Amino acid sequence: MRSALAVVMLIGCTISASVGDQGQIFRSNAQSVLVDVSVQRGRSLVHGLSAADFEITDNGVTQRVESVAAGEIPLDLSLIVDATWYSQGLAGADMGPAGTHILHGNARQIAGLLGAGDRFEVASYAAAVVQARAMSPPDPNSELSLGAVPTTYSLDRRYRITQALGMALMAPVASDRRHVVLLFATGRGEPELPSLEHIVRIATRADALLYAVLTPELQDARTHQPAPLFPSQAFIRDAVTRAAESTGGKAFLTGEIVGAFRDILKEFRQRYVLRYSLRDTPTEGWHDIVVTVPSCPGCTIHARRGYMGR
Amino acid sequence: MVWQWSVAILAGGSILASAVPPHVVPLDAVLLLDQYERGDYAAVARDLASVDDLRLLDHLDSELAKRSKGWIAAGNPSQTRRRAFVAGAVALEVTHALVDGQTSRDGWTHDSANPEALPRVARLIANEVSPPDDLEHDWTLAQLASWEEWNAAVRLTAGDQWITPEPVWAVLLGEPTLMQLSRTQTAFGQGGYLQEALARFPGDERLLLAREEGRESIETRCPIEFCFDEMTPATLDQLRRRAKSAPPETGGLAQMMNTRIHAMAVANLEAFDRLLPAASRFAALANAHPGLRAEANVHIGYLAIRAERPEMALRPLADAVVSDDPHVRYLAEYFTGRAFDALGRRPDAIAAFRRALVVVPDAPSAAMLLAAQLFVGDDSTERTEAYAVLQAAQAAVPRAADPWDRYWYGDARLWPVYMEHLRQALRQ
Repeated sequence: MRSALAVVMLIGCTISASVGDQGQIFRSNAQSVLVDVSVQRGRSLVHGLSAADFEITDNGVTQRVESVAAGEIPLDLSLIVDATWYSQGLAGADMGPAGTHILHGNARQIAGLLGAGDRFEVASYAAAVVQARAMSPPDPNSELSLGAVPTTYSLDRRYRITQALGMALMAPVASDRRHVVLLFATGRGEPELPSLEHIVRIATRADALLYAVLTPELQDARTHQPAPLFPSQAFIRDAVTRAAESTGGKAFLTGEIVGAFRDILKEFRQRYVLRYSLRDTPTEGWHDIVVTVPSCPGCTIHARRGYMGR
Repeated sequence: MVWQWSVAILAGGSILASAVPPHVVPLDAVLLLDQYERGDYAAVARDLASVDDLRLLDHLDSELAKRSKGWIAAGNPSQTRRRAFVAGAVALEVTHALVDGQTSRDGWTHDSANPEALPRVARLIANEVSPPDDLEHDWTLAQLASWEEWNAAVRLTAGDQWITPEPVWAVLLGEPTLMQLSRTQTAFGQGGYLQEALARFPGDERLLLAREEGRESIETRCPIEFCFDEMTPATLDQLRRRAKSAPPETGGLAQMMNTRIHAMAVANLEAFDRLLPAASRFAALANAHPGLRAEANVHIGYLAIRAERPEMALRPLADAVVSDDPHVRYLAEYFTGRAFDALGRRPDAIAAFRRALVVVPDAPSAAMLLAAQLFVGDDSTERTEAYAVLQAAQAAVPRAADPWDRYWYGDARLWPVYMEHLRQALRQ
């Protein structure tokens, strides 16, 4: 969905209290809301917009955009890697499980792209979800250390893509940070479709921005056209794509995770972060938000659909 | 790797049998038999657990297959039948260790062959003509659990050709392709152990349930790659569209893929149409055998959910939640939650998933669906709870196995129980 959305963060701002203790953030009647937005004309990002260019409604009530920032807010990255045996072919015949290869190779490169103040964590999934690295800043002075990557299998083959994504998407986001979930998956395997549909529902209410890098389909050697997908593959991709877009993120079809992340990061750093103080609507419960840019007719706005007030 | 497997299996031999590492001393099959005969089961379990190389286990299995007959005959003639069951029990222990080796160790650097000792010793036992007794019954059930467990493990490690139809049962019941790939013992046909077991114990409820579960697994699961076990209304619609029209004549890879997709859609819909008839058979089984009622009702509930008839699932599942067996009770609550979810009854679904997690704390299947339900509500405290529920389920050491993960594997979960019964019977 082209109108997919972005990260919302809520910053409670009591008049006297400082931001930082999330438990105290939303006590105030004056709830401050951050909305992560990208604006595109065609395939190009639109730069140079100011607060006056944006209009926001929160539960149908027009709000005043007080400030626009971009790029200064630090990033928490959750990297989720498909470690199922389906991914083995991606890594080459002698690589062993692709999860091992990807985690120890690509994760290092991805860590190198992060900025000062950013943090990242790594999890992989097969028959279980394993956190290979807890959320922490990359340390340029030491070798990237990842925990054990699962190469074993239980009697079932219910790959835990939904659990891995659920964990990342439900994680609370610190009020002074932005959270990006990056999924690298084959889009194959045997996830249970009903639970995959739950991920789409979870994504619509997540505070994180989800990007998915899915390996591309086979190409016809003669025509170079992509071969049709099996419905099961198509539905997995469709569900992941819908989940990503409903957070304001995107799904990419490429086997090159680092390159994809470089593009994602570039776009992410150029997003606008709008701030407004919630007025004339109760703070509690779910808030639907709509962002428009009247000064940019025909532009595509990527912002998420809402947030949970507290 | 997959083709290597196939070739090895078709050859009927082990690709690893001669690959005992030179620096280790393989376990002695006769020593294990003697230990078991003396009732020193702990020593056997300890020895098997100490083996961390699948090639050694495979070698032991081959040795056991070769030497069991001589070992049985070497005892007092009055003890021949008992010694045959001792050899059978050791074969079950070794097969279990092979399963454990395949699933809990590095599945990517080791291959494994079919168990050799178990079918061979089973034949020796079958040749011991005598009236059925408790010892034979215990052995029969333990063998049932072992084969179910083994074929579940094979499904994990052998490649795509094993995925469909459910090999756990396909091999047991004699699905031709898999029979050809596997030289392992099947349940039916010549020498089929389940067929022979039912001839020996025709009214045994576990065997009757196993037969029906196998039929369910084969008939209600689409026997082609990339099929759905469970569908959503949207997937069902698309499959119907795909099945209705012949694949387009595009040529090339697209033509090949479209042909496979069409075949998959047809097969998937055929499997879908068999869901409710399968549920009817379980209803008949429950009526005829009250001891199977709870388990049969769980199957009925799940089949109704998959058939997009969640309202039909609620009554049989309500009957099953009173089971004494936590495995059955969990599944009944879990499926109840899913039925309520499908019916749009969120509070009831949440309550059912909570009850499931009381039965098996932190089970990932119910935890995931409970968390999903909580997260999408309008209560921020539920949202916080949702994350905590998933975090707990992701604990490194699960407190108990998730029954949903074992749902398809019949009595495999009861292997330890059946083996303990067999050991006790051998002590007498």
